[in-house]
Amino acid sequence: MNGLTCVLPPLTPDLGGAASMLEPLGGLVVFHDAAGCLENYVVYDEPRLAGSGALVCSSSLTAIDAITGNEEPLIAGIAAEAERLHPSFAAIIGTPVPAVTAMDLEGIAAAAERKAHLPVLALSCSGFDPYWQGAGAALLQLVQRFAEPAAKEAHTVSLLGATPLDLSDSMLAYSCSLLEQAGWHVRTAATMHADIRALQTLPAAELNLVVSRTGLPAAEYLQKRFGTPYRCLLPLSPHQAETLTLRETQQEDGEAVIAAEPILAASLADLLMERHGIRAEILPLDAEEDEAGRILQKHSLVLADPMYRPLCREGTLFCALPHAARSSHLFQEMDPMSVIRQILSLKGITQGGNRI
Amino acid sequence: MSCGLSYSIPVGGSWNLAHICALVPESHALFIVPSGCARIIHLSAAEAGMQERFSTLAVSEQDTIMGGIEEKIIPAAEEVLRRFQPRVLFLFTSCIADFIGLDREVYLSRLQQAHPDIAFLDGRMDPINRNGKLPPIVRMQDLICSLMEKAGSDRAVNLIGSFLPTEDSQELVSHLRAQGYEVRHAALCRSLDQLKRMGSSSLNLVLHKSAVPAAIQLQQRLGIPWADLSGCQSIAAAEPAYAEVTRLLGIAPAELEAPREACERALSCLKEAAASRTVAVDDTYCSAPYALAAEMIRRGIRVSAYFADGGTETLPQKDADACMVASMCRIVDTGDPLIARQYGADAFRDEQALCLGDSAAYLLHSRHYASGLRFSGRFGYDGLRQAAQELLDSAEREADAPSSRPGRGCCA
Repeated sequence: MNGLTCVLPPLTPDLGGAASMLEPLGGLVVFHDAAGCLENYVVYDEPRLAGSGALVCSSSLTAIDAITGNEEPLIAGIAAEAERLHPSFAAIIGTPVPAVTAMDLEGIAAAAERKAHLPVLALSCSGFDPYWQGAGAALLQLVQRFAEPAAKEAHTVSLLGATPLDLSDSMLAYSCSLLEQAGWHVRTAATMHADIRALQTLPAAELNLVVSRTGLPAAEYLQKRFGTPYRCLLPLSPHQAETLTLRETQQEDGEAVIAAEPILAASLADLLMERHGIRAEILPLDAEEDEAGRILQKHSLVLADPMYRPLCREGTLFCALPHAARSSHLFQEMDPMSVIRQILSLKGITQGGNRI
Repeated sequence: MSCGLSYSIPVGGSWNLAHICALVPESHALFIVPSGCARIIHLSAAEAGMQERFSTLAVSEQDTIMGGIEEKIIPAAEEVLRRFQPRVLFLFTSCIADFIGLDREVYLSRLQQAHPDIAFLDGRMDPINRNGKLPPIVRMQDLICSLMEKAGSDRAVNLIGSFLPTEDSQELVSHLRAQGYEVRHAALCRSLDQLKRMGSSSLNLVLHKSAVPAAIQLQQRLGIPWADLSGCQSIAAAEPAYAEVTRLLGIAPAELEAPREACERALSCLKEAAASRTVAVDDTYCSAPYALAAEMIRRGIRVSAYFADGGTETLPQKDADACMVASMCRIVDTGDPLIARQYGADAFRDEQALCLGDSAAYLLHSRHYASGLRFSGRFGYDGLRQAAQELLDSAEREADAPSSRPGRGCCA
C-alpha cells in the first residue's frame, strides 16, 4: 500500500543528512524544532556525537512561535552562542513544522548573520525527504560559501559526499588506499575527513570523485565554477581506482540485486560482474516497501542492509551490507567491507552470505 | 545560562513512544507522520525486538498541501488490522497535524464504527505541544489508563505513572502484598484483559506527576481513588504518603523500621566507600534525583555536582531537598550548548567520581556509574537504598561507557 511501511525503518530524513554533513566542521548546527527531530538525530543518525563536543542544538521551537512567526528567539539564540562559543559558522536546519508553515529560513539566516557576525547557512529541510537531499544541499552550500579559487594541483583528488550515513571508516580508508596506489593524492573526503580549511581549498583538486550521491550537487557546482571535472565512483578495486570507470551499470533483470547507496551499489555491481560474471540490479533506496519486496523476491542473491531480510524469499542468499542511513548502529558489529572482500575474493560471493 | 538553544547529551536510556506503547499488550501503533519522524520508533522497536508492533503511513509534502490524509489513514489502518490483528490500535500524528488542520474525528469515528471490538487511540508524537495542556507523555498516561475497565472490586492496587514495575523489595509494595493486595502495573500485564482488569482495583498509586490527570480520569470514570506518591523519592514525603495509602485502604500502617535501617546501612557503606571520592547526580536517574542527592549530603557524602537539563530552574522552589542541593552542589545545566565545549575541554573530568545517571558519567568521563530511568518505579527507603547500593557496586568495577540506546529496562 502506498506510503505504508511495516518492515523497513524509514531512511534518515533530509534534516539528519544535512546535520551529518555539517557535524565535523566546528559550526553551530541548529535544528529549528521542538527537540524531537534533534533526538532522532542524536540517538540514531550521528555516531560521532559522543565525545566530540560538536555544537548540535535545538531551537526549542514552540507552537506559539511557529503560529505567530516569531523568529526572534532563534536569531537571538544564534547571536548569543556565536558571541559566547565562537563557532566558525552556524547553520539552521529546517524541520516539518517550519516547512508546513512556510518559514523563511533564508531570511532568518540572513538576519542571524547580520546579528551574529558569522556565516549562517539555511538548510530548508522538511523531514519529508530522504537524507541525500539534505546532505547534498548542505555540502553544496558549504562549497558555495567557503571554496576559494586555487591553482590546480596535479594528481590530486577530493572525495565528495562522504558521511557515516553511507560510508564506514573502513570502506573510505580502503578506497583512499586504492586511489593512493593508483597514483592519486587524496586531498580530503568531504566532509567525513574535512574541516573548513579543506573546503576552502577544494578547487585545488585536479579531480573530484563523487563517492555518494550526496556529493553530486557540490561536484556540479565545482565543475561549473572552478572547472574541476568529476566522476561518480567509489573505487573498490585496483581496476576501478586506475580507470575511474565502471564497466557495468545497472542491469535490469540481473541475477542479483543490491540495495545500497547508488554509487556504492554501482561499484559493487561492477565488481560482481568483473569477478564472478554476475549481473546485478540496483534497488532504489526510496522504493516503496511493497515494491522493494517484489523486486527482492525475484532474486536469489541479495546484497542489502539486514533490515531488508524479511522481504526476501526463502532460499535467497543474503549478504548483509549494513547501511547506517537505514539501520543506524543496529548492525555495527558487521563491517560492510567484509562483503566487499568476499566479492573481491576468488572464492566468490556464494560463500559470503547466509541462506534465508 | 543558555540563551534559548538547547543541547542534548548524546547518552541515556530514556524511553520513547515505541517503548511506552509496548506497555499495552496486544496493541499496534500506526504513525501517520513524515517518514523521518518515525525512524526513531522503528529503530527503537527493532532494538527491542518488537518490530511487528509498529507501522508508518508516511505523510508527504504533497499530502500537506493537497489534504485528504484522513482518507489515506482508513485503508492503511485496515491493512494494519488485517496483517497484525491487534486489539488496540494507536494512531499517532505528529507536530504538523494541527498546522495542516488534520481532522482526527473523520478516521477515528469511522474506524471505531467499522471495528467496535477494537480500541482506537488518538496518540500524539508532538513535542511542539510540550508546554500545552496535554503534553505527549501526559496524553500517553491517560490513553493507557483509558483502556482500564471496571469488572468487579478486586483487592488490588495499581501503580501508574512509572514505566517499570516497582521491585518486590519496596517497603510499601511488600506491605500491601502482606495485607493481601495484588500490586498491579501495566508492564506486568501479559494480555489486554489483564490491563483492562486494572480498572477493578481499589486504589491507584501515582508514581509520576504526568499520570495525575490519568488518575483523576480513573476516579471520575471508574470511581477509583488515588494517592500521590510522586514525591516519595524524598524520604520526608514518603512516610506521610504511606500513611495516607493505608488509611485509604483501611489497613494497618506499614512497619518501616527494617527498610529504614537497611537504607541507612547502605548509605553508611557508601559514605565509607566514597570517602576519597565525589558523587555526582543527574536528572536522568529518577524523577526527583535531587531528593536522593539531599539524603546523601545529610549523611556526609560529598555530592559535588548536580546535572539537570534546565539547571536550577528544574529544582522545585521551597523544597527542602532541592534547596539543600542548590546550596551544596555545583548545578550544571546539561541543556546549555556550552556543555559541548566544556566537555571537549575536559572541564568536568573526574574519572573516579561515582555517578548516579548516565549524563553525569558521560560529562565526568567516569566508568563508575549507575544508570536509571526518570520513570522508574523506585521510591521511598528502598529506592534510596538501591541507589546507594548501585553506587557502591559501581565503585568497585568499571562499566562500559554510557550508550545512547533508548528504552532502558523495556522488556516488551
